[in-house]
Amino acid sequence: MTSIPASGESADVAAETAARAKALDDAKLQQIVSLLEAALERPDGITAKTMLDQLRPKLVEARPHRRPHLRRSLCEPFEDMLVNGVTSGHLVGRIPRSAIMPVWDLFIERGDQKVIGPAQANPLDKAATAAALDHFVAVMKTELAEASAFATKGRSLLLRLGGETHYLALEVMVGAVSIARQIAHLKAKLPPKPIREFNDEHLNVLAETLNEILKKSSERIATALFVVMARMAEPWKIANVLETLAMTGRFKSSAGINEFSSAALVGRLETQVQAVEALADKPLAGAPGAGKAPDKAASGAMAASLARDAGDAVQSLAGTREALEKAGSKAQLREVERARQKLREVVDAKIVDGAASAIVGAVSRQSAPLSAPPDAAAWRNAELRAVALKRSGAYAELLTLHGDVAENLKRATEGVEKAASELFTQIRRGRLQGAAREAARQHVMSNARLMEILSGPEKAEQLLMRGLEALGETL
Amino acid sequence: MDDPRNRAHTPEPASPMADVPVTPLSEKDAPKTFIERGASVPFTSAALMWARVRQRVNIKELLVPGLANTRGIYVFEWAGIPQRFTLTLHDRLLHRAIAAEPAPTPTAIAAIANRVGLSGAAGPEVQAAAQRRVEQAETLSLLARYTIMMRAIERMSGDGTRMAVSELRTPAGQQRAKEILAKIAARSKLTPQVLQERIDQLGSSLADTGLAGMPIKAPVRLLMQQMAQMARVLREWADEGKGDSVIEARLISQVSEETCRLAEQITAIVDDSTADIDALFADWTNGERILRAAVQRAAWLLDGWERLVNMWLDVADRSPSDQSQTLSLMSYLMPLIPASELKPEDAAKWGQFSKTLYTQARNSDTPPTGLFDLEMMLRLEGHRARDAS
Repeated sequence: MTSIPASGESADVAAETAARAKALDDAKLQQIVSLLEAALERPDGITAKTMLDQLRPKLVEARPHRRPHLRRSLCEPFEDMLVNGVTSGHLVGRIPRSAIMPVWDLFIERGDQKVIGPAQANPLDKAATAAALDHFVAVMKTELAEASAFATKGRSLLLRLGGETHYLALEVMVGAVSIARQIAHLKAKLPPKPIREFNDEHLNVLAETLNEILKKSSERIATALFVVMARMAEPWKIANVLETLAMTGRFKSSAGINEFSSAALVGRLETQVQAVEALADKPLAGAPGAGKAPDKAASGAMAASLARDAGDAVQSLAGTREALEKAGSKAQLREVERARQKLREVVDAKIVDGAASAIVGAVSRQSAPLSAPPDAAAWRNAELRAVALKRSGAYAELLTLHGDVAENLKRATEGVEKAASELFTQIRRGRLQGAAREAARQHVMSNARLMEILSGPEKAEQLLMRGLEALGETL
Repeated sequence: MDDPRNRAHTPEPASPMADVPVTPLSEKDAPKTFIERGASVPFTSAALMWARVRQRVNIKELLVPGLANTRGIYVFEWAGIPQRFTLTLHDRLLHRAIAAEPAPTPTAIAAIANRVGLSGAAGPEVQAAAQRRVEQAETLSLLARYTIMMRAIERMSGDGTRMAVSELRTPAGQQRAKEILAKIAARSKLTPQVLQERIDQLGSSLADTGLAGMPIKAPVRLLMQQMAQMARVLREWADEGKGDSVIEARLISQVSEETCRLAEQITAIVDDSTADIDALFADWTNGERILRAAVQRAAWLLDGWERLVNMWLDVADRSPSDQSQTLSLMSYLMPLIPASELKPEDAAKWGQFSKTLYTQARNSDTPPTGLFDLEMMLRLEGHRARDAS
């Protein structure tokens, strides 16, 4: 299952739905979700399912009240680990959403209906739900134990679940569901995302929960930490939180926990990098489709948006690397380096490489013919490419792209400068009047504006003054 | 108001704001009148995003709140702004244009800002938005005129004649309206030209505020609607204790609601006066003066709220923690109604708002540095484009 639609047209629909969902207030979203969930049960429920999938980013963020369902209760302990698409590389703390249905079907088939039935019939019955979750852990533990003991059973389970990734996901799910009560307690007591700093009260809750889990199974501490990291503004600082707990004697962390938190950090980083890659590969929302005019600003909009998201990923990369340099392994640092390389490739290919030519090309094309005003969409596209380039400059050094970004900025600035000088010469020669004069004024302003984004307002004002002088005007 | 110019600090060109000493403003130093409070200016430079302008005799002043996360307001001489802050290109043009304006009221500043937006200095999206605003203003003015004409015909023709907007849009309908209005003018002892001039004058002065029965909601009423919605959302936010800034959320909700209530009194004056159109024409000098004052008051009352609504919209779908930070910042910069602009019966309520606000001193976002901030410029330009969409 992938959240990225394959065709440009469906990408448009998905993007439009997501954009509309973003603007919905909580009450409206709640209303829509309730209607769609009711429609899920109908024979034509696939459309409702597709729409709910398109709404998912908003649902994850706004968390509207969902129709109670045993499957949903089962997923709650590990919901922070769910990722869209098929995961590759690190699996710590990453459960592909696609693993849910095969695992659920297996549980329904192998589980005891006497236990599952009451929880399905009345998902609000807390005791029945808790019993069903315990039953899930027992049933799946047996399945995993048998799969591990007998090669044929192992292969059969692997096939049944749809591959190794889902098999490994099942192991994580069982671990998380076995401490569902503790995770629910932790979630209820911690402040909402993003937590910038833990106060004493939060640290106490965390220590209390971790100690309780430790009594049950030390291996499960990792799952609880993942829930905490998902709430943190800077998850790479989880080691500092554990250190504080240890120093105050509230919870004694072990090396295993540090190993997990390091591995989970790498997993989180990989998810983030994959999201950036997916955004870069996404068909342009404004690409020409059936009966639609191409959006000239689409590539610029994509580059500007990618530059912002890549910035978040780079920030995470820097934090993760710093944390792993203290507590991680060489192999984990190599993983971080691989993630950095991937980000570097994406940023270089989609934002930096060719940016100067695109900007200068747009400016040069705009000035001919001078008598027509600049094409607003093409002008906007050049602006957005410049915005993307500037944004990438903020983190270019970490991606060892600073030389390329600086070079592109320099070439773009010089190109705009040169195009402006040619424009001013044309204006002086043209002795423009009326609409042509107004169009020329617009060209001057669009050049000044681009210069502002590339080099700041000082240079922009100088360019504007020169343009106005060519027009025989002053401010 | 404490004026930092009286304190010892040397102006440095485009210096970071951290160099400037900050003097918190106390509750009793708050501006007493709208003119003293100044009109908000839609700058796109980060440090000036909440700045206001006011005229003091021959000197124009820039008032900058929120420079150090306090309720303190800095006062700078208008002419020296480019030396003090790194202004965006748009703000450089806006600064020059406002310098030439003798009376910087909210309406005058909005008109100047739209002219600068039209130049393209803030990019093609703001330019397109400015163009939409121009077209919208023309449409609203026309619709206001039509609505007043319909009222006049209905109330003053004497035979119950009615006309619809759709009819007034046709040449035949306009001819018919002209004939009816000529008769009304004669009955009112006015020339048809004078009657038409009065209708036109009302149409253009009421375009922004709108009047009851207009098929499109005018900007003032639209903003009031947005403020009422925001007040409701923030009240719920506070009731549910969604984040840390419960006090701020409740306060912004109350002030927004109360400001809306005062603005509703204005729209009620406009609606009542234009409903009783025969009385308005009969006592034209007085009636027109009251309406002009009402329109001006509405502009002052709501001045600055557009940006607050936009700030909230920016974080409406973000996490409660992000919302808390924004609410905290919004509470610092929320425009309170100056004491001398209130009726005695409202004074206590607003005094309480002011008291709560000044005791609610908390840290919020990092203060702007005073340097060129591309991201903030793009965000503020986004607000300008959103306002006119």
